[in-house]
Amino acid sequence: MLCERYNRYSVTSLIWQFGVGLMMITGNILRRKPTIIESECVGRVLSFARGTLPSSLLMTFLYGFGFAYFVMTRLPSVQVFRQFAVPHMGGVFFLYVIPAAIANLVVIRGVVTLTSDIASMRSSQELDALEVARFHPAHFVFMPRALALMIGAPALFVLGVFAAFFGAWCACQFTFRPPMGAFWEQFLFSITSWKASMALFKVGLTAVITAFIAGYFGFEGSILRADTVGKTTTDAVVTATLAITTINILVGLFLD
Amino acid sequence: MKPLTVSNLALVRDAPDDRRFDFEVSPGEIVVVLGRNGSGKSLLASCLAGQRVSRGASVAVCGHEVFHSRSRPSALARLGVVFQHPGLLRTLSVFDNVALPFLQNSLGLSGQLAGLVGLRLDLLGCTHLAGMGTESLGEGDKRCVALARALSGTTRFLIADEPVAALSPETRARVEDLLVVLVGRGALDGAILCTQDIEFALRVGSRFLFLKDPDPLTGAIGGVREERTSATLFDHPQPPEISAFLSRRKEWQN
Repeated sequence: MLCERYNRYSVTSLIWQFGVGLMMITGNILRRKPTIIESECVGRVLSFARGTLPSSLLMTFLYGFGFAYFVMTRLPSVQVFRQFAVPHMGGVFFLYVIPAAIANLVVIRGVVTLTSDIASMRSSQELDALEVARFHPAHFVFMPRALALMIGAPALFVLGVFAAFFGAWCACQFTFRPPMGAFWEQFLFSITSWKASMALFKVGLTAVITAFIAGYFGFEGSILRADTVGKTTTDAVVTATLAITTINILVGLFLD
Repeated sequence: MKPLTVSNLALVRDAPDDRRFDFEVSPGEIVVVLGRNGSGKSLLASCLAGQRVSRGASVAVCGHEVFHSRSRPSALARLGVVFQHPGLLRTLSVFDNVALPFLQNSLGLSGQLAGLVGLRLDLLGCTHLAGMGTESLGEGDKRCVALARALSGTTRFLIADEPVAALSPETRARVEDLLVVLVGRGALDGAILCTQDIEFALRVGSRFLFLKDPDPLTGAIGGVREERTSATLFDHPQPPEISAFLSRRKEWQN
């Protein structure tokens, strides 16, 4: 067996280095002396938004449309749907449907990108080159991608709520054709500021935890065999999916 | 002070003593590591660059121990490394890749960065590549840029794994001359080059380490089979790599 790698990246060291990196880039921005790390962060956030925005809007639109149509066709009358289902739809969407859609689409996509990027950079010796140049790979490689995920997921969640609302409104056009303003008021009826902040918290927490899972697998999983990018990415996705499900259950229990 | 001191370095866990490395590189010396495929040349380069560590091993660059956390930054600051894969960062341009070690040394903010990076690229004939992304470069160009990056910053000692692989004949000649000049004039304290290319080795090397073949039974790798200087390289009995090279050259001349 080959001798060990000198640099190892545990989850705790990633968290520590993420904090150090955040302070570093904040300082650089405040001093108005941005370095390549800040430009890398901006580039990653923009590229994440570009890559995930169309698909997440389409996905949440379809979730909204499908959910409203499903409920509407299973209730005895449209009147019942208008009076009892629509006022609760916003709450269900906010707390369960959109976070699940964002978690499954945006976060899993982020995990795959993050893990496979890091693991392939190990096999192409880009990480080695960074380490020899005394750059911490967590600052240059992990932090920009993790930040993109952490900023992108809540932002896409907010946009997803609008897309889901629009989807539900479109579904209603087949039957009682509500005006958009009135439907929006009804849709928001059951959403309290507490529920909204909890939903945002859930999405943010999911993004943070999965980012660190992806980072850990990217760095540590590729250490033994640098060429097993596929296996490492699969392991990261499976673990992230389990984490997302657990977070959903725990936060759901806490809310109930 | 020796530019590089290696002691008790093993490439695999629990390696026997005869598979461990103990050697030094003197100032002004270019040591060439030769060996068959799988003999551990790239792994040795990786260990010398502080990427892999075996228990009890010591690698000191200009007196700074690579495997001690306190002295590691000083050791790495003096080290320029070209890995087997060029390892250029794909999200950065060629210029930014070469600038990377300067940025770490806080020279990036001094306004001299363009000149410093430009000089390195010019030495390797890559000035025209400065604004390009690394993805569009050919393998030879990538290797040249990696070499330019390795010579950046405060590099005093160079470790290069197959530095002239995939290079065109002109670029290759330029790299050979550059290495000899940099070490000869003291811009670098020394270099260790891992290669299979005997012709390149003969042109630049002042000392040659021939690695042992991998053990077919245990799979153990590492260890120096034979050590020669440029003065004794062709003495009999010749190392098999040298005699094979000479007989091939004789055939080609006939």
